[in-house]
Amino acid sequence: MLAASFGETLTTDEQLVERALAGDSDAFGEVVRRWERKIYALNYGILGSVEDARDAAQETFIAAYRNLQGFRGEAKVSSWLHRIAVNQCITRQRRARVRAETCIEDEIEATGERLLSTGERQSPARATEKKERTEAVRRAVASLPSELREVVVMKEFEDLTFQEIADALQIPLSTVKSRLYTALKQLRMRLERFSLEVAPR
Amino acid sequence: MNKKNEATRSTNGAAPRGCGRGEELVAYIYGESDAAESNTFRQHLNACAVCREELTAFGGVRHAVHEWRADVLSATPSLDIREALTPAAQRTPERKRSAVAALREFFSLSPLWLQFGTVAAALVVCALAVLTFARTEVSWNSNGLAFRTGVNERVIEKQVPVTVQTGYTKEQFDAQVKEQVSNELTVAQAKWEADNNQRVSYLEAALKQQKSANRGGGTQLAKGPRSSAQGNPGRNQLADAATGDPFSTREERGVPHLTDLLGAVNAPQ
Repeated sequence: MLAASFGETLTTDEQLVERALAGDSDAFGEVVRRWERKIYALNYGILGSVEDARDAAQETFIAAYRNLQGFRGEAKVSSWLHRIAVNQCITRQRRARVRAETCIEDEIEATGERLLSTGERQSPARATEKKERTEAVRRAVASLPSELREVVVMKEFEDLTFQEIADALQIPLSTVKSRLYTALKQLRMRLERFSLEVAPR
Repeated sequence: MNKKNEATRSTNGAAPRGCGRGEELVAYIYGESDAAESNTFRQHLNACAVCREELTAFGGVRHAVHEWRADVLSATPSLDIREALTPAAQRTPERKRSAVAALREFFSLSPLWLQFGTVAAALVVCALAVLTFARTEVSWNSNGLAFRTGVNERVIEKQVPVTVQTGYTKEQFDAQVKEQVSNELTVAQAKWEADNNQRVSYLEAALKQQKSANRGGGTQLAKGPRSSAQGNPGRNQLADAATGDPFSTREERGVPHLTDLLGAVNAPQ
């Protein structure tokens, strides 16, 4: 038991994938166990919906398993998985772009009103305040254009390097930086708007 | 958060424009600029209030995003990814593998006698299957072991009994039957006649004996009390003529017995 847990922590993701390639089905299960939450979070950050993020996370690992051979020659399992995950998100967004964007617009309106009304109605406990803040962040990120949302979530959620993001999205390094800068600027503006709306109570 | 609000409120109304060195700022924030770039940008920060203000504001944004991220990670729903993977990708290859793998495992783990036993049993089953398929008949009788296959035979559902022997036409067969029947009848009739004659002569001898015993006092057989009523001077009336008579028909009640006849003969005495 002890040896097994020791072995798990010592085994790198890359070794696990190699073992999975050799036919060890448990090895890929371990990769999933290690990464499922992070991949879900990344997807959630980009997609902004629990259901979509969960589905995209499942699809990510299914796609990864099907293309296990595709990992050969890659430096890191993490960047390989992230690229698959981001691609899953992009595909999803393209599939429902129009619908998604109208929904997000509606959501922003609704959130602004809800934040205002809850602020007026309740005396805010610290927990509620934090909850409102994270909710505001969620809405702010969700309202970003998808190309900005992708880079900021990849950076902030997964701490991928500029190069990894550039590889995953197949865009130039400088584009990653400029998009990241624009994303931060827009998030700041949106968060300020929410803060101002909540602040006057 | 409060610090961030204070910092951002001062720029409220006028959208922060930046100074055109956004990429450098981002690289500096995320620690992806090398030492030289970092130094250069630090010097720029000292001179540029816009970048300084943005740096602080972005710090607040990042802090908020991280807070949210922690929320997301802690509230991760049940993803069932491994379960979702199982039917889609894992289960099928595993199953394909397992049939062969199970056999291999069986043979690698089981003792030698079990391996041979399994192989032998499998061969017997296969042989029986082949024999069944070939409709093989194996019989063991006084003639020894007989073995035949029915691979090329058509399956006959029902054996129809053949009444006419091959080699005979119907007419011939009928004539044969007729001849045999008439032969049998002739034989039977001749036998019956012979028997009858024997019995009649036996009876006649008996009567003659009686007559000679009672001279002149003989009553005719035909006047016997029951013989006329029966009206059948056949074999039944002649039955039981003596003990040890081969034609014993005691089960036929109402038939006159020889004792009656003798009685009738002796009556006048």
